[in-house]
Amino acid sequence: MESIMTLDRVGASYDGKPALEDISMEIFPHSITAIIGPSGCGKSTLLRCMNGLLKEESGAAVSGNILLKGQDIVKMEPEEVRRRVGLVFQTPSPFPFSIYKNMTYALRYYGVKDKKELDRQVKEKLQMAGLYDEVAQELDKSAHKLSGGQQQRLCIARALTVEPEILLLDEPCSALDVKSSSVIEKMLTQLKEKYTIVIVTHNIAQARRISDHVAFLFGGKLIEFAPAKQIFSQPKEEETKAFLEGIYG
Amino acid sequence: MRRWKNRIFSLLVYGLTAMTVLVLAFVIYFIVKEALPTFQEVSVTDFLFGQRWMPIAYTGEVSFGIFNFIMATLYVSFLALAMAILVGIGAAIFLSCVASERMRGILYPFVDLLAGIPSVIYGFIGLVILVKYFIRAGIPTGSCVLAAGILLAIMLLPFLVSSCSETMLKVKEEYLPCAEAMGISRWYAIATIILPASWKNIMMSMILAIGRAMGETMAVMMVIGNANLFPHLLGKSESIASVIALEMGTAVVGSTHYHALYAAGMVLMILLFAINLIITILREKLIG
Repeated sequence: MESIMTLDRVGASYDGKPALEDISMEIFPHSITAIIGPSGCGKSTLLRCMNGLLKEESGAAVSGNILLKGQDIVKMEPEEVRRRVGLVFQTPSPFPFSIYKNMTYALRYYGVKDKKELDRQVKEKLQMAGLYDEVAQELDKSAHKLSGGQQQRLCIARALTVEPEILLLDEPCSALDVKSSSVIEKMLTQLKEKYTIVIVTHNIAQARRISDHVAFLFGGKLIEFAPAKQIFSQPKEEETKAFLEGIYG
Repeated sequence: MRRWKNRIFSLLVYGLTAMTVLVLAFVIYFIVKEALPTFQEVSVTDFLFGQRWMPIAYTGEVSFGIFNFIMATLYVSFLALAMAILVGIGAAIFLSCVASERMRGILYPFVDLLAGIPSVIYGFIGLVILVKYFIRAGIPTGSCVLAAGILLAIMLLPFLVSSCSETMLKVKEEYLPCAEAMGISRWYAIATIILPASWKNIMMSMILAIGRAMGETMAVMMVIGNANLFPHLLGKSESIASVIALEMGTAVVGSTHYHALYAAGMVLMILLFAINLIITILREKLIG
């Protein structure tokens, strides 16, 4: 299978202290890649490398090459990289507008003005995020009045409005209860038909349920990268095995 | 033993709280008590809407009308706020959204330092520098409402900048990453998300600033010219606070003049209370 994103010996450091070393892996289209590992192993840092957000943080430096469909993201406009590689954060943070305005915000920025087209997009993306039926009657309601799980799904739907090729999710369920998490997991498995998903999670069970490929990070290094089935049934490396058995937190 | 200690401590806390409340109560009581005799001589309408302030009968009759002072107080305060808010919001956007954390760490102390300068120093600078420019520009004596407004605006700035940038920093940290993650440019996000989301808090700081501006005495008194005239941008005028500060020392205790100054103080206090009341109502309505 042709990969959509290739990481080639990617390294990252904060103020000279290395956070990631020599990461080489591939992201395959229409699949869910889970990045797992103990706290502080560099999962979120790796995610932020992928959409170019990290290199803009003060004190951070990124090395190696990240290719998006064969094109080096360093040579692309930062805005373009971020539009094509969406990111959803850990804590849901809808803008302080109505649900509708949250959904149309980026579309308007990119020049979509036709009301019918906006309405269509809002409906389509909310349906994809499995939120439409719950909010269809109250699109004018403030997004802050939604529950935590609904807010996170709104944020995912909002990220989809710019039609990203890859959607990165940084522990999207860690602030949510079990039921909301399972709704989001189900939605993600449906979304992969149309998008490519990379999810950081410290929940091994979640990675087992939804992922097609798994990258195990430990101490800033990529220990193992393999199809999910293989990594969960026969991990090659000792560290992976130990982590999956719950030896590291 | 422990019980006694607890009792003494709680009595102390109650006592100190009561003292604070009592101080306020006494201030109000004395001002009202000293102010009320004025209205045996002057009617409330004449006092509030009269334009002639002639506390001693040098020529003709005495007269106690503070309308011009009230208008000057409001005029100068709103003028200062209008000037300060534009600069303040601009500086707050820079500090919260553009400056790096290190730069913020360097710049914040300067803003705080500006707040710590005593108002007489501002007045002095206004007198020596600002007023001279106005003389050069052809304003006789240089003292005018605009000079007072500019000076007051500078005095309001540190407060506005620090309260607005604090709000914006919080809003920015919450929403800017999400906007940037969709490829939206920083300036567009500032204009369309951060400013609207901070608006309620900016309003609150504006109202608080007006309260401060109205009570400010020294700096305003030094550059406003202190003439009982209806306020015009480039003309002299006199605020309530400056009338009180200038005349209290020479007013004969117990005279109508003396009581009228207290009454003017009472009007200023009522204006401030009214503004504070508006703050509370607005805060409940807007922020909930």
